[in-house]
Amino acid sequence: MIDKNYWLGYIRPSIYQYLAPFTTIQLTVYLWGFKAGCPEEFFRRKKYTKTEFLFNSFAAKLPFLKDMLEQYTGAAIMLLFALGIACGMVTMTSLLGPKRHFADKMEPFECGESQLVSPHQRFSVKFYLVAVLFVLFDIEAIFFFPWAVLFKRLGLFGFVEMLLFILILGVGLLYVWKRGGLDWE
Amino acid sequence: MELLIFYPIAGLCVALALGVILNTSPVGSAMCLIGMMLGLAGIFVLQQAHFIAVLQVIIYAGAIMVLFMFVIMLLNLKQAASADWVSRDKNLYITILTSALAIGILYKIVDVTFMADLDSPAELPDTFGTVATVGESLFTDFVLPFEVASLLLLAAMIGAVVLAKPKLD
Repeated sequence: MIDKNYWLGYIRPSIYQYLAPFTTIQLTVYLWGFKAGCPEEFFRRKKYTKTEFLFNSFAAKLPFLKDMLEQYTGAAIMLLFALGIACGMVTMTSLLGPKRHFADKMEPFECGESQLVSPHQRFSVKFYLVAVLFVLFDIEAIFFFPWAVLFKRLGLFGFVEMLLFILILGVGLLYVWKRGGLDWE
Repeated sequence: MELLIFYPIAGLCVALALGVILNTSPVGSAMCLIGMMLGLAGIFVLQQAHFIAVLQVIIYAGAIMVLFMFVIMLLNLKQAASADWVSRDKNLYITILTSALAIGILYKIVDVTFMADLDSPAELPDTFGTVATVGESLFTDFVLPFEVASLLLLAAMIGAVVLAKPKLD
């Protein structure tokens, strides 16, 4: 019969028992880092400082970053452009626009409402109509993105297809217009 | 390296999602939701799902948020009513139901994630999920649903006008 504590008794308790897990984790992390960072350097067994090691593992991953930047350059330029236009508009109007201050204008306000009215009141259904029409035409616009990308590849078929789509929605727009859905009053 | 981009976005998303549920003002919650949806769009881009990313920005952060704002406006939530979420015992059944649903979804996600064979991921073409690929199937294999979608939009348009402007003048 084997003593249950045989294995524990065999290895004499030492400080290593307590250090072993930590050393193992440290070693694993260290080796993984080297594998990801600079394998050839690892085999040469050059000693690196922590900063050098971090820099090397970052440099090894740079090609990925470069790929990604190249892939999204267009989107990034467009975002910067949009940001520039938005900021530019605000800055230019605040710089160039005439400034006339009078008492009524300096009062805090919310969309033309007096600030002494309770905000808990019914809203006109006109707002709802505008919002729903916005949502619908927004969804319509979504379909134009893949169409624009594929315009040349789809040829006449795609053109007719989209024409039909626009025609059906055009009927809707005409109806909304004739019915007075676009008039505020 | 992808993780270097993923973690900030994911962290931001989680923070904003917490903002949505912890905010006492409904409009504040809605603003946090917009930020979270934009973050999700970023994650979709990382997953090479460009079309979904565009949808996320234009439909969710744009159109669906407008509808949310309208629900907030039309319901006229009072600040006090929205702040008493601490005493929710009267909604106990709803709480249990939604929690069970959330736990079920989370379980499925964890299950799928850990069961997935990560060493040999399914082979997908490089262009999978890009705008061009989605468009190609949309405009060739799914022409009919595409055109029917326009009819659906037309019906919604007419319905909105009929509801909001009941009388012909």
